[in-house]
Amino acid sequence: MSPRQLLRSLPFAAILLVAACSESLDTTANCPTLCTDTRVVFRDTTFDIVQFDSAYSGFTGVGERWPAPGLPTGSGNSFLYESYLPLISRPDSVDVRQVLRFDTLPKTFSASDTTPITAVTGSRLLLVVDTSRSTIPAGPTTVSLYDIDDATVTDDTLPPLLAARFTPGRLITQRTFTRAEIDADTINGSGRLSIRALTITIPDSAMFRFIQARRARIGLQISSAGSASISIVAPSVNASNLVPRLQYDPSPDTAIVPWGVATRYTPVVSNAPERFRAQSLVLRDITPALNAGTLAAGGLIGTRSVMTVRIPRAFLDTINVVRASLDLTQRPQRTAPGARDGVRIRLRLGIAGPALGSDPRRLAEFLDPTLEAVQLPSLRLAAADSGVRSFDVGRALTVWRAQDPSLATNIILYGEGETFQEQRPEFYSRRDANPAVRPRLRVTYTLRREGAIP
Amino acid sequence: MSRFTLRGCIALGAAAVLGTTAVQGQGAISLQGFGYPPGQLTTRAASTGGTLGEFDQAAPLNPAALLNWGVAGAYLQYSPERRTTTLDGVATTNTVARFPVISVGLPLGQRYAFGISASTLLERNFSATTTTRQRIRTDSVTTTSVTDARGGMNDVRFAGAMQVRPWLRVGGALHVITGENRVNTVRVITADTGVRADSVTYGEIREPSSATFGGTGLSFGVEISPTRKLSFAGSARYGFGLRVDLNDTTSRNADLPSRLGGAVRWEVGGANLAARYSWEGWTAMRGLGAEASGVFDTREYGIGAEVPGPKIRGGQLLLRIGARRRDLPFGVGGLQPKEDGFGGGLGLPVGFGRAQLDVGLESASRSVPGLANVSERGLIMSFGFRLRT
Repeated sequence: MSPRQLLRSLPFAAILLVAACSESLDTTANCPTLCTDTRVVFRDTTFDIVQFDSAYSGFTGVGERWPAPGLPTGSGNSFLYESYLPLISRPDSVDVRQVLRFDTLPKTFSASDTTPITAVTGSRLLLVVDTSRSTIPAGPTTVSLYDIDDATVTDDTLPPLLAARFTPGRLITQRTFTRAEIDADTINGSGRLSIRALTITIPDSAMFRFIQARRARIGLQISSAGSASISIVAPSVNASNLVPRLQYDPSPDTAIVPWGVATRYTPVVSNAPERFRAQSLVLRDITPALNAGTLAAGGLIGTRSVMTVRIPRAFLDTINVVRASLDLTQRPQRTAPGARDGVRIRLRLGIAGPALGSDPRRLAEFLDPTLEAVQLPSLRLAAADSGVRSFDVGRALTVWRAQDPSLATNIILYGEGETFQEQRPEFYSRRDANPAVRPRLRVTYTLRREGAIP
Repeated sequence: MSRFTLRGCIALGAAAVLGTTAVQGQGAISLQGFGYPPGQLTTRAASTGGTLGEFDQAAPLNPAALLNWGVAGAYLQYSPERRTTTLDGVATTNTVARFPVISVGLPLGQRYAFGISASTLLERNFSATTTTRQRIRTDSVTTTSVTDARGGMNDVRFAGAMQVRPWLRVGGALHVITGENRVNTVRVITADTGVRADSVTYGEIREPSSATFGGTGLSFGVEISPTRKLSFAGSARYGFGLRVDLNDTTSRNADLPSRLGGAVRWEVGGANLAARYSWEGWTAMRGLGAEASGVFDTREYGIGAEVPGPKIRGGQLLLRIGARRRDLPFGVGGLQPKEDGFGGGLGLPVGFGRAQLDVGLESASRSVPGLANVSERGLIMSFGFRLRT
């Protein structure tokens, strides 16, 4: 084709271009008369997927682990941490206290000024309270600090030994406050309206004694005329302005900054009890015993349930899952404390890994937020209610289907009000004699279509 | 709604890839089953009611017509359609772009010719969005389904022709069926107001699927000119197996539709008057699917004329007119649709006879006997560019 011919064909090409680039999309008007297969047929089926289930009690905080066990992080370490530590005083049933450990109290003015400390001022313990997870009465509430250190004892983590040291002779100090005082305090930049600061002044002589020993073991106890509980941010939380800290000023010279010493924790997976550098002590737990053969979640002393499930992979691989739920039949507890009040119950996933092994209690202890990257919806339940409760696990199925089938698949049922709400709904387990009330997976699905074939 | 899309531009740039691209569609009479058969007609043939299809060397119908190339040449066609479907008085308009025929002819001496062509046998491109309210367990939900279908079935023909006698030409061809349909459906389920949205999640249903076609057939054609002004042409295609592979995992088997057609052309005062009849056995495809709505054999009748127009610089302008009636192969609710077409066009010489631009405009009226509330009207523009060495 000559250049002239090519030039003459340009208008033609322009027509083509304009025509080819125009689109119009308006599709609904002619359906369903002229559209095939616009209806979606939802089907429903149930599976007995629970192979093992059991309830475990004695939890005093929502343990979390990041990332999943066995998965490397940028530093090569995995982190174990818990977000909150509870202090609970319920005269008729529960007494939970805490032990904070400080192993590296500096004995000099500063890191660069090695002048030995001879006296301190402004000594105090800084705590951060989450009021949304606390039950603080309007009347006076007291937090007491005890020196529970005993350098002569090698193992200072044994609960009976530690509990015995909460004696009047070891009392360091106390602070009494009201709910109004707590509510009036805020922490700049905390970003959470429910976060409040709680500062407890410590006698300077006691602090100087700790400094001389380079370490402190401080026991925390809450007391009130009635019931009281507070949740303090745990030492393992990665936020230096929120964790428990000891503060003291080593010199009247204003150029020397006061020390703020946090509890130290080791950011590696550890099975040792001191992994958090803090320790919950349950001095009294006379909450109602669990009914035999039931699952439960929640309570001041937390109860959690573990269910090991077997996923019907072969079936799931052939369908489109629309909705999947773990249906649990609630066992009513009409006479339990607070039976009519709602408490939020949630599921989390747990997959046995090298850090935790396959011990179901440890699976329940460390709830894994990583595997729950898509947080499963929760249900708000009252302990007195009964009937089938459908916990949505549609997103969990996506995780399960992708995981190594040789790994055990576990579901942990826990209460979000653990340690500050006494309600503890119960459910029938797979061990119940009546098959109709056992846990089961209910799947709503559609069959896969070959849309390319009309 | 009209908008400019990159896809459309890409379609034009990829014109060498036969079939249809840059298309949008919806539920339409012409989009049932495996799609719409453009008819394997050139712009020239379509402008004359399909009648010159058996004589047109660029059309992939009659291999004997290859000798009409005279010299080596090539042909490319673009045929966008503006389609308005009316259902219960409500009209919806789409635009579909097609590149239905590409062909190359290569004469060897005076007696032989060979050609390769690719043409659209069936075209299926649409996008459909539907919403339905349903119940899942005890919850009321709304399901929004978006379906995108792209692709079609193409006929690649390798043909040869021979001049047996001055009045007799014969030809044969091998047909290879290729192509693919990709259909992607995404269904999003949302809970209606009042459902416990905080405690229930619904999965999104994604259903991608593809169907890859493969098949073969043989065709034979003849063109007889008992007198200088009278010609007869006929062709037949015999279909062998036709297979569709679904998602590269399973397959279905049927037969390529056979076809039988004949036409007559009478030259009167320089004008060509022609008539054509064609039958195509689409029911051979029943094994592939689409049986639910009906798969039917089709008949097509057409009459048309090509008249010399005024001479313009570089050659003779040709005026064309024609009408045709045909059935469509894929039914609506078990009823077979009909299509009536009426159109015309021009043949514009370009480059002093070395090339020709065919421009056509055809109005197609489609209906479904038994469904009075449904009708469809298509306005098919057609541009064919014919180049001779």
